[in-house]
Amino acid sequence: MNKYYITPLNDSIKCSELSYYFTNVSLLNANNEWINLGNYDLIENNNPESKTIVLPNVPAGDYSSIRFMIGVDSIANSTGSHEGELSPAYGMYWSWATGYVFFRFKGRTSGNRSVSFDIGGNQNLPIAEIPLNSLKNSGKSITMNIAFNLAEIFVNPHNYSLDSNSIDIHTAIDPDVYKLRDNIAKGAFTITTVQ
Amino acid sequence: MRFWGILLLLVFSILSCREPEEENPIIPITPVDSFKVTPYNLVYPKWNSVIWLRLKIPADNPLTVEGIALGKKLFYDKRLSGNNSISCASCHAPEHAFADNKAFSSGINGALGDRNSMPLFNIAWADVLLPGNHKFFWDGRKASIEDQVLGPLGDPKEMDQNLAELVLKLNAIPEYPPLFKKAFGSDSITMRLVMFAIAQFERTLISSNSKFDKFKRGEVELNASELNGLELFSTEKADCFHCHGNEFNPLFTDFKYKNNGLDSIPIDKGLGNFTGKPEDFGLFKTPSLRNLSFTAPYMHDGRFSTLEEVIEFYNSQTKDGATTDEVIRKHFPHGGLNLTATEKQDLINFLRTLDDYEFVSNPNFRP
Ligand code: HEC
Ligand code: HEC
Repeated sequence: MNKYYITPLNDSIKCSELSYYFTNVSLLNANNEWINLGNYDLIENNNPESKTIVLPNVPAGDYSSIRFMIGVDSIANSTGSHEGELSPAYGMYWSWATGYVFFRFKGRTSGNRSVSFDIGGNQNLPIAEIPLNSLKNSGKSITMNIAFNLAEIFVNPHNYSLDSNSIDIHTAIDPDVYKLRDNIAKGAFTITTVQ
Repeated sequence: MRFWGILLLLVFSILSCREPEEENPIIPITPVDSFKVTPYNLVYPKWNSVIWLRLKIPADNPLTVEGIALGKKLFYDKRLSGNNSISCASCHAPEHAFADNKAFSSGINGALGDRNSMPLFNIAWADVLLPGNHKFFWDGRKASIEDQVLGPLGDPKEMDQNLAELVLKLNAIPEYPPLFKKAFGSDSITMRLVMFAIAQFERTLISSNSKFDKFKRGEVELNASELNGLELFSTEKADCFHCHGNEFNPLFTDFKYKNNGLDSIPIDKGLGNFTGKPEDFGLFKTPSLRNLSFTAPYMHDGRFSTLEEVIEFYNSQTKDGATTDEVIRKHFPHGGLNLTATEKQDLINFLRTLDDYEFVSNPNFRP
């Protein structure tokens, strides 16, 4: 609770808000086709209910990989009907050019500097892909536990130190934003259990 | 492709961040027997190319014409207070967008409360947008509109009405049992049904006919100053949109609990009073910016009496504190927002377009 923790680059940081869109969950089937389940879910750290997503109607099959977007695809980002969890009323929509905020993080360093990321813009969309140890959909519901590790957004593939990188990203064209995009896509999300 | 109706359940855990709070159980409410009522047709407001979110109406308290009419009658009835001197409307008056014009409202015997009365419009959307049990009041201490009704009734500084006595009192007023019978199928009045009826009335208090709404429906134009105010509002310049929505969010708030920098050490702990967590100290429900011309003074303690004061506060007087929002803090290195006199005026002119004169004079909402 309200604790500081040390990032892999030795920045000490505490988080006050963390929200992101988790959308377009897709599974790779035996024919090498991606089956997109077409979900749009908003995950908010302060909202326990938001952390369980139910995706009905997964086609029968044998799947070897899962892919998802942390954010919103370019079509929904520009022409979205803004219903349900995509409603701008959730506060995750910029009225100007870039559309949705894909990923929001707010926190403070132990030196009391504000850190505030609102990542958006189609070119900055993190897409994560995680191989599965053959997921057989045999007629029972599958529960997948997914962990998001905040520490990972500061490393791999790019080192992101709060001393030398932007600590306040609120434009889609910030020079450092691609680093966060890549770091979120790679390794920040892991599948801990599949039942 | 064959669909087996299989569920993929994704459960998330977030490492290294604030832990989620524990959930308190919500009091279960048993449904009433079925009988004949007239369903109320809730008409959702329209904006071009923006959809107003659908409301979550509790399955056991659907909106009915009879229930809403009864709720309105109760809302305006002074007999709901301990000494029959004030009603809900004493502090939530229609001409003030269902708030009042005092910093602290006076309850029965003139006792002063310690918070500014909140306007009542579009409040049911807080139910949709806020998670968990913190949805109503400045400090989020109530979880539902139904439950909220008990707050002012029992509060010694507000209506100071013993609830058991209220039930006896209403049962003894000849006009009430038949109205409860029509609305809920039972002429035995219970506290639960009083809560249900008032909640129904509150859900119908929708404000959606301001000049800005008409602009978003293509019916009127905004002038250059108002448009510039909108631009300032919804960009990093004045930076209001991070908390108070934007031209795609008709509610002009996301309702979330935030510290907008009023005090470096909050006098009133807000949400923190209720959760006891230091990270919640000084967090208050973000109010809608509709109808500001009718709801002065402003903030949870009514400390500002004009919009000019509010804008100057955001421009140059926000304070740093342990929970001050990062969106406020990010302007400190530049000495605040640095708005010019014209920009401040444009911002106010834009805010005035959110005043809904049809809402405050709507006869359907009056006794
Ligand atoms: C003495 C004045 C007073 C009376 C009478 C009163 N209220 Fe309030 N009301 C307030 C104040 C002050 C607040 C904010 C209190 C707080 O946050 O602690 C408030 C808040 C509310 C809210 C929360 C709105 C939101 O957006 O979270 C609702 C709903 C409400 N009142 C409904 C009612 C109803 C229904 C009644 C009658 C049963 C009533 N009030 C009677 C003063 C009053
Ligand atoms: C960090 C989030 C945040 C930002 C940014 C923000 N506000 Fe607020 N605003 C709040 C909160 C929270 C309150 C209630 C504070 C309280 O009473 O303790 C509030 C209250 C208000 C009120 C008083 C409304 C009432 O009914 O009493 C007005 C007016 C207002 N803000 C206008 C603005 C304007 C204009 C801007 C941009 C210059 C702005 N706000 C920026 C969160 C914010």
